[in-house]
Amino acid sequence: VVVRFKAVGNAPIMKQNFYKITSSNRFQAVIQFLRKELGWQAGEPLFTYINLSFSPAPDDTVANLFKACGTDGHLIVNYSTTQAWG
Amino acid sequence: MSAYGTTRQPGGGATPKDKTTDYHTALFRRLAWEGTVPVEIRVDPKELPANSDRGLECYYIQAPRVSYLPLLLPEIRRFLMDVVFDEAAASSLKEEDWWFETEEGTITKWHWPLGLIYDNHAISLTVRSSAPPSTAMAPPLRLILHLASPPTEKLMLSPSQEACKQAFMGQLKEADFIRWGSTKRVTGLRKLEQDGIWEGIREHNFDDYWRVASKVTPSASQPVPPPLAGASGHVRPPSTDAPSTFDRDGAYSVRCIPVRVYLPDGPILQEFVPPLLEDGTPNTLYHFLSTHLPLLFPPRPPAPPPSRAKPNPQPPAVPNLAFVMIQGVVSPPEAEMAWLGVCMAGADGWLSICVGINRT
Repeated sequence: VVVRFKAVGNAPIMKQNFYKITSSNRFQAVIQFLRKELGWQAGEPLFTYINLSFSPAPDDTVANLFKACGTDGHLIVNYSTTQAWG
Repeated sequence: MSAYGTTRQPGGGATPKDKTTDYHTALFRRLAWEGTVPVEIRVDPKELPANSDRGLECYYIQAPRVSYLPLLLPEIRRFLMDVVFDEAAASSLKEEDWWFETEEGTITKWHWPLGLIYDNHAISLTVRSSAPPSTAMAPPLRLILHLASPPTEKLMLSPSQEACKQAFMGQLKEADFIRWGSTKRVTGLRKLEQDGIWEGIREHNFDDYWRVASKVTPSASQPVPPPLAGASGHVRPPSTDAPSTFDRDGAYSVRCIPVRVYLPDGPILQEFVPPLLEDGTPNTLYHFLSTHLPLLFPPRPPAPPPSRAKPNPQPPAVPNLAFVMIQGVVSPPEAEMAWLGVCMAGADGWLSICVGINRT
């Protein structure tokens, strides 16, 4: 599944925004991947959302999220340093 | 009762049929809400602090299906501190390191409702060789409580009530998004209401929960019959219909029903579940499962054409390989997905379908 990361608010924009992620991965893995790409430690606040709408359960699979919320062939994951849609 | 059935009639009284619908909706919602599961909690004997009272290390709870493990922790902790642990041990224990697993070694997640944990456990037993004989009583879910070294990777959340509340709200929003393509119904709730719906779960209060939930859960009103061919060329807007059956916010108007299918020890499936099929008939459990899990729920071939010898033929029987459990009850295949989605769903808006294997 192609995941498109979109920064929200003050969050840093990555050089590369589109990534191919194995669909059987849990969303938890996506969060960890994002942290690694941003170079952030586990303690630093990172909030993730799908389609600017909701924060998925960490054990939702990428496959299921894409089936339910994918747009234009990819899954939009927004990330920010503050809780936006909590 | 009609406060929780959500048909919206423009003035005038509800027709008797609608009152019946309201009653059934409220009845099933109440039944689902009041459902409980027996849980037995036992501290891992290897972790019991010294000087603990070992005779009393089991704690039994008849817990609401819609509740969550983090909400039970205060009660469990009180019991253990008061009765089992001695003072020295009690002061050194860190509740944030506590975690549960089933007897079979499955780690129980903090953000799964207890009803789901119980049903998921029940179906996983259907594929183990040591299948217990089916009894009339529901066996308690036996959980082992560990006091240290939580597997944070697998647990994914801390055991705090705040984390649990966030997860719950997230599921509610995701369900909203699946239904309508936007989360505006949930995000449109005032903060007081958002807190209120969680308080309803925490305090296990049906009225408090549904006071807010009725704003985001679709009504169970019946589907619109397909329009008559040859009717006047334009569609009449709903407000001009007499006590109409069209409900824009009804269960049959959603674009997709939030459903997750749990297989024994297996993956969690999430498929597109429209409330109505292409021919306008309601989507049923049978249709949904035979489409997506045809090996477990083989589609029934059509009945052979009537002949002289058999003027009223039935379709041939198919093997009954698996069963469906929703809220702990085996569900009939003709149940409509849309109705299930608004009357038998969990408190977080998701309909959890647990599939168990029939052992013959």
